[in-house]
Formats: sequence, C-alpha cells, structure tokens
Amino acid sequence: MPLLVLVAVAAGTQREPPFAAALADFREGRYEQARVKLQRLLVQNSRDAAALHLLGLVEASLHHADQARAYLETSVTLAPNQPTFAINLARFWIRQGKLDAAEEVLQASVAILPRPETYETLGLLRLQDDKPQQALGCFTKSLALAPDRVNARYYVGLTQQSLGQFDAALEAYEAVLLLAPSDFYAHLQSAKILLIRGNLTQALAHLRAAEQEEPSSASVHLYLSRVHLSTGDLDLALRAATRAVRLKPNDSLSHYQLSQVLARLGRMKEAKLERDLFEKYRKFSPANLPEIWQRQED
Amino acid sequence: MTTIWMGFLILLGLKSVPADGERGNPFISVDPSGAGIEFRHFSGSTAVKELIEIMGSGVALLDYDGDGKLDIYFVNGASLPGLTKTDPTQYNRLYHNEGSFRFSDVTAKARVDGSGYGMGVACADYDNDSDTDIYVTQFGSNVLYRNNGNGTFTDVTAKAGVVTGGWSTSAAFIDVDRDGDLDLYVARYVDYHIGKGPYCGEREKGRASYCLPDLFPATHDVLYANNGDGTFRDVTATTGIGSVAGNSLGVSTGDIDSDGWPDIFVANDRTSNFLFHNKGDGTFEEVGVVSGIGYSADGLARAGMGVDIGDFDHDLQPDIVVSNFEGEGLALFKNLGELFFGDVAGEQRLHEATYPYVGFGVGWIDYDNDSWLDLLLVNGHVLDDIEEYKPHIHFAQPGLLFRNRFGRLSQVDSPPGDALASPRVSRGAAFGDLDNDGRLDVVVQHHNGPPEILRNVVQGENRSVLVTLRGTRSNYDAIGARVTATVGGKRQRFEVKSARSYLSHSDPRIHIGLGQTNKIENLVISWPSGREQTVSNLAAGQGYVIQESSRGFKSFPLRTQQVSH
Repeated sequence: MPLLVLVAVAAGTQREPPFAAALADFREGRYEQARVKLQRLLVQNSRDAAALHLLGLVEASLHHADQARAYLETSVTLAPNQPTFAINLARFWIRQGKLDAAEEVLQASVAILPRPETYETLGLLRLQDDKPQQALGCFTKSLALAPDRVNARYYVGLTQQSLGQFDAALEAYEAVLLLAPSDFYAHLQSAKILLIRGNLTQALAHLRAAEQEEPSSASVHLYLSRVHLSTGDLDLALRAATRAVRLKPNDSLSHYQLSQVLARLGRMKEAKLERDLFEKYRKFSPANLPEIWQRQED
Repeated sequence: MTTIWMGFLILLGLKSVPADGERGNPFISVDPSGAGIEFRHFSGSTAVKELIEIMGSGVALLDYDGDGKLDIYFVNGASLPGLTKTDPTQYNRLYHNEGSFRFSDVTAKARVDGSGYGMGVACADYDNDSDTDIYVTQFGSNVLYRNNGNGTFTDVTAKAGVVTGGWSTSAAFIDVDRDGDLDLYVARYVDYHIGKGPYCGEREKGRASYCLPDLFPATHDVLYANNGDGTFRDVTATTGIGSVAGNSLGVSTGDIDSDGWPDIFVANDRTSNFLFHNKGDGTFEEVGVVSGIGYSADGLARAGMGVDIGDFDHDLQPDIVVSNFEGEGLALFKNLGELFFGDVAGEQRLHEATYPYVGFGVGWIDYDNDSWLDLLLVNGHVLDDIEEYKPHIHFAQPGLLFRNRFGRLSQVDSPPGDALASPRVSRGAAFGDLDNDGRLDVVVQHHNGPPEILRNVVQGENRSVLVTLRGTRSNYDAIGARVTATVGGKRQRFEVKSARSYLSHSDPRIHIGLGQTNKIENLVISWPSGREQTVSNLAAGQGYVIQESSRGFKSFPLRTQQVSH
C-alpha cells in the first residue's frame, strides 16, 4: 500500500511519546497499533489536529475511506494553517478519483496560507488533469515563493517533458541537479529523454548516478537495459532487465523489457513467458496515484 | 543487354533542388475548384457523436483509363444513422486527369459513386486484364468495382465474394502466395453498431463526446485469396490472420525480411500493431510485439493510424513509419534485420516534432529528388472540442515535412501561408506524380471539407525516374516486386505496393530520385514470380514501363524504349 505524505510535525514542537510511538507504528506499517494509540490520544483531546490527521492516514492505509475522510477533513478544519494536512487530504481525494474535491481543499489552503508545496500539489493535480499550461503556472507560483525549491523545478521539467518540450525539460532537470546533484528523479528523467533521443552515453551517465542513489530502483535497471539493448550489448541488457524484474516482480514494463531482450537473444520460449507476464500485469491496475506523484510519495 | 520500352514521355521540368534544405516547403496548394474538383468530404456528424464520424476517408491516385496520367478517386462518408448516401454531395468521386492540374468529374459515367459510408480505398488489377480496379471499404459492406476498360466500372462485390461486413478501414492488394494474381487484405476496426454505443462524455452537462475505441471489442482482419477467375475465397482462418484481433486502421505491405515473401504490417489504434510474417507455406505468423513494433518502447499500445514502408537510410532494409496520437509521437521503426526493429523516431527528433499532433496520412516521398526518402505527415485531431479540455492542443493542425539527408531527418520550416502550414483536419493522403514532371505531388482528404492538392514545385538540379513494372507471370501490377537501383554507385531499395498512408492508395509507379546523377546504372527487379531481371543505364528525366517477359529484347531511343528479356 503506497504511503501518503507523512504528517509534518509542527516546527519546534516535540510531540509526546504516545504520538511519536503512533507515528513510528504508522511508518512501519503497524496500522492497527497506530490506530489504538491515536484513539487513546483523542480520548484525552478530541481536537488534537495532528492525531486526527495521522489517524486519517492510518484509516486510509487500511482502506477505510469514510473514516479516513472524516478524520482528515476534521484535521484540516482544526488546523487550516497546516499545508501538509490540506495536501494529504487532497491526495486522498485524488485517490478516490474526486479531483474537484482535491482542488477545493488546495485552493482553500493557499487562500489562507500560500505555500510552495501546496502550489506544487495543485500543479500536479493540473498535470494529472491534462492541463500542463496551468500546471506550469502553479509551479511558477511555488518557485516565486521559494526560488531554490528543487521539487518545483523538477515538476516544471516533468510538465515540459509531458508536452514533448525535451530541450526545456532537460534544462529544468539540469537546474535541479545544480541545486541537488544527486537528485534521483532528475537523473532518471534526464536519462529517459536522452535515451529517446539516442544520446546513449549521456543517458548512461545519468542512470549510473541514479543507480548510486537508489541501487534497488527497478526503473533504473529497466532503463539501463534499454540503453544496452540500443547499443547491442545484449548480455548487459539481459542482466539489467532481469534485475529490474527481480526488484519489482509485478511491474509490467520490466517484464516487457525482459521479453524484448530475450527475443533478441533468440530465446523465444522465455520471451513468450515474459510477454505473458507483461500482459498479465498490464491489466492489473492497483489504485495507486499516477507516476507523476512518485516524487511526493517517496 | 536489355531494351527499354517507354510507355510515355516524361516532361522534364527538373531544375529541382530545395531552396535551402530546411527552409520553406516545396508544395503549393492548387485550388481544387479551380482544378475542376468540387468534391467535399462529408462525415455525417451528429449530436450523438458516433465514432465513425471522426475517422475521415481515403483518396486514391490511379490511372483508371491507362492514358499515363494519374486520376483521383475520393471516398466519402454518408448520412447517419442510415449509413446511406442520401445526396449527390455525399458520393464518392472519380476525377479524370486532363493534364496541367485540370480534372473532370467522371463519376456518373464510371458508376463509382459508392453506396454506404465509405472509409478507404485500394486499387489494382485484381483480374489481370490490364486495367485498374477499385476496392472501396465501408462500414457494413465493401464494394469491388471491376474496371470494364471503357471508362466504366461494374460492382462485382457479391460475385467476387468480398463483401466483408463489419467496419472495414484500409485494404491492400497483395499476392501472398505469389501465384500471379492479387489477393486482398482488408483491415477492420472495432465491433461497433450505429445507434447502440454507450454514452460518452458529460451527461449532466449535456456534452456528448466521442468514445474511445477501447470500449468496443477488437475484430480480426480478413484475407481473401484470389481464385484466378474473378472470385475470391476467405482464407482468414486458415492463414492465421484471424488468430489475432485489433483495432486496425493503416495497412502496408512489403517483404520485411527479404525472404521473397510479402509480409503485412497493420497499424492498430490502441492495440498492439501487427506484423504478419509470411511463412511462405500459406500461413502467416503475427510477430509484432516480439519484433519490437507492437508497442512503444514503454510497452504502450499507441493509437496507430497511418503507415508507410520504405528504406529511408539506404541499408536496403525496409523501415516502417507509423503516425500516432498527440502525446505519443510518430514511430519510425528501423529494420534491424531478422524481423527485429528499433524505434528511432526519438533520435531523429520526429518524436518531439510530432508530439502535439494527431497524425493520419503519412508517406515516404523523395520530394527533392536527392535519392533520400523524405517524410510527409498530415494531421488533425479527432475531438472538435479538444481546446476546451487541452487549450494547448488544437482540432485543426498543420502538416509536417521532414527532409532526409543521408539518413537524418529534419523538419522543413513551413512559414504561415505555406501550403502545409495551414492548420487543417486532415485524414487520408496519397502521393504521386500528377503531372508527370518527375516531382511527387500529394492529395489530401480533409475532414468535412474540400480536399487539398499539393503540387510539388521544388527547384534545382536533381532529377528522377518513374518506373512502371508490368507483370506477365507475376500479377499485372507487379505488386510485391522488389527493385534495387544503383545510382552513382550506391544502391537503393524499392517495392511495388498497393497500400500505404491512411485509408488511401498512392501512385504505384516507383519514383527514384537520382540527385544530380544522370542515370540509373542498374535496376535489378525481383518479380513476385521469382524471376530476376536487370535493366541498365536508365537515363534520368524519363519514365519507363518495364515488362516481365521471356521473349527477346528490343532497343529503342531512351524516350520510347521498352525492356524485355
């Protein structure tokens, strides 16, 4: 179950041990234990916004949508100055497919307290809704509030990439890497564009950098395999694709890549098996947020 | 030594070099009305938004009367929901080429006005009686018009056994078994019923929209084998064509793996593309996905519409271009040999250039006669209200031209006012030399509007040759014949085919750009019958008709010679 953004503990506030313990349980996936602890806290103070919010995240993780909604909404009402609460509620609505509700929460939040992360989330919402120009507007607002904000710069690049404006996207990712040289996503997206363009040496360099940051990323090995396949290094391509599949066995793209490599190696029966797995996992669509949210998820 | 028999004289007006490579495209738009063409496409648009309304129709360039000039046949839609042509403005139209870009409407005399909702067209001499017949695909049942040889046609669909049914799109004549007569491949779209589809759009706002094809079952295409007596038999199941189903739109054919047997490529809309590899034993194996051309590199089934096959990089392997939807980019599948392909559209920068557009008609054409196949693509969205959802995407879109220099493609600028620059809602496109001046022209079908005739007026010193092949043991049109031309010591590969682009049929003659070389040193023809024939020293600036023959040879002056063995 993919995690929603964790609760941001109020700056300078040291929460009491029961809350910290509940937070630790949530992070470790011990949702029932987290719930019990939080409910005890709320018995003592039913208007504890942070506890309500965390309980909302717990219920969402347990697929209790109605309870999750109630807790998250109450926490936002009690703490309208907490942009993270609004963002989490918005993402909850997005998972439910209710983009209008998400929009409403985020707009209300920026009206009270314009924050770069809230504009970023609004921008991602626009991007998901296929409105890239409006998305760019939101990311620009985020950067106006925080010019060195890596996330917003990254999302600008992502938006330009979605428009096929690859030169602009590469520039945006370069700007991210100047601020954060080991930014995994900027390396990965740069690699993707360079791979499309056939700039394999540069793509490889970015993928190696991404691999250093996240050695267990299936995506990195998937794209490494594609680079090697393009250069004709079939053994390396096979190794990378196999690794991608091992790291993420239910990822359809990894199976597709492996099937392509096996076919090129003449191992047709195995290629067919991988194609079948590709088709199988392609049809299986977990209720995750689209890939554009991946950076926030992590 | 072979003699060359020229069936017609090519006018030389061949000072043709593009002005400056990538600045300014060489096409000018000929006013269709001024040319005598009053045709206007009719989609039968309704408030219900039936899916068929957005597909457009095809156009064919064919010499139906054998006078050496390409005539034009436009396919048209019909009224909905009845799917019948209720008004002469909805008829298909055949225009006779009078020369100098003047045409006359001969539809009534020819009796080819169509009946139902027309989609695509394929032309060839299916009965080997030396004249070109016409096959029109439709929604519901198709029509085969047999050319009577006197300016008229007869509807022989039922007798020939090629009615088909369902929703047919593109079609291709192809001699799959190399027995000397042309078989017929018919692509089909989804299983759709007019008036019975689901509601798509925002019902509460009263805004109907066109449904995605995903909502309807895919269907298999159909292959008919020619019995040699004017009739066909359905061999879909026995050949393996019926083993897969897709949302087929574009078709092209060619010997992809150079094993002597013609293969079939099908562009599918949101299902994987098909590559039917001809095994030479009466069966086909579908290898699209394993070959690397089924899906994008990201494993996505794109919305494939138009297709063309051509050797763009002079490695003597046929490569495949496919037009796709906005956000997907054009696909250029480079042939790596052994039935493997790699999409090089990205490194050619075609992917980015075509990203905002919905591509339909597409074709490899050496517009500047420099011997390198250039690429022309016409576009137009399918949603007439797209700008309300995506303000950066437009319903009407410009066409795109890419010049090929030594295997590198780069976009040719089309400033405002240029023919291709005007945003249109384009669909079918056919390529051919309408005025026999050695420069390839284009005819485009625009959705719910008059067509566009793009006359090629490229200037410079480059020259070309037009070759018509005539089979004797092979099918008369020589469809499936492979030609390798040696020009200036370098070899280029061509193939005669009946299907390319989107729903359309192009000039079947082989156009060979020579650059500034003054002759083709050798032309090696691999006929579908298996016969190999070599013709040497074809002078630039000429047209040739080369016949597959086993008797003697004659020698004639270059402008009036025929080649025979």
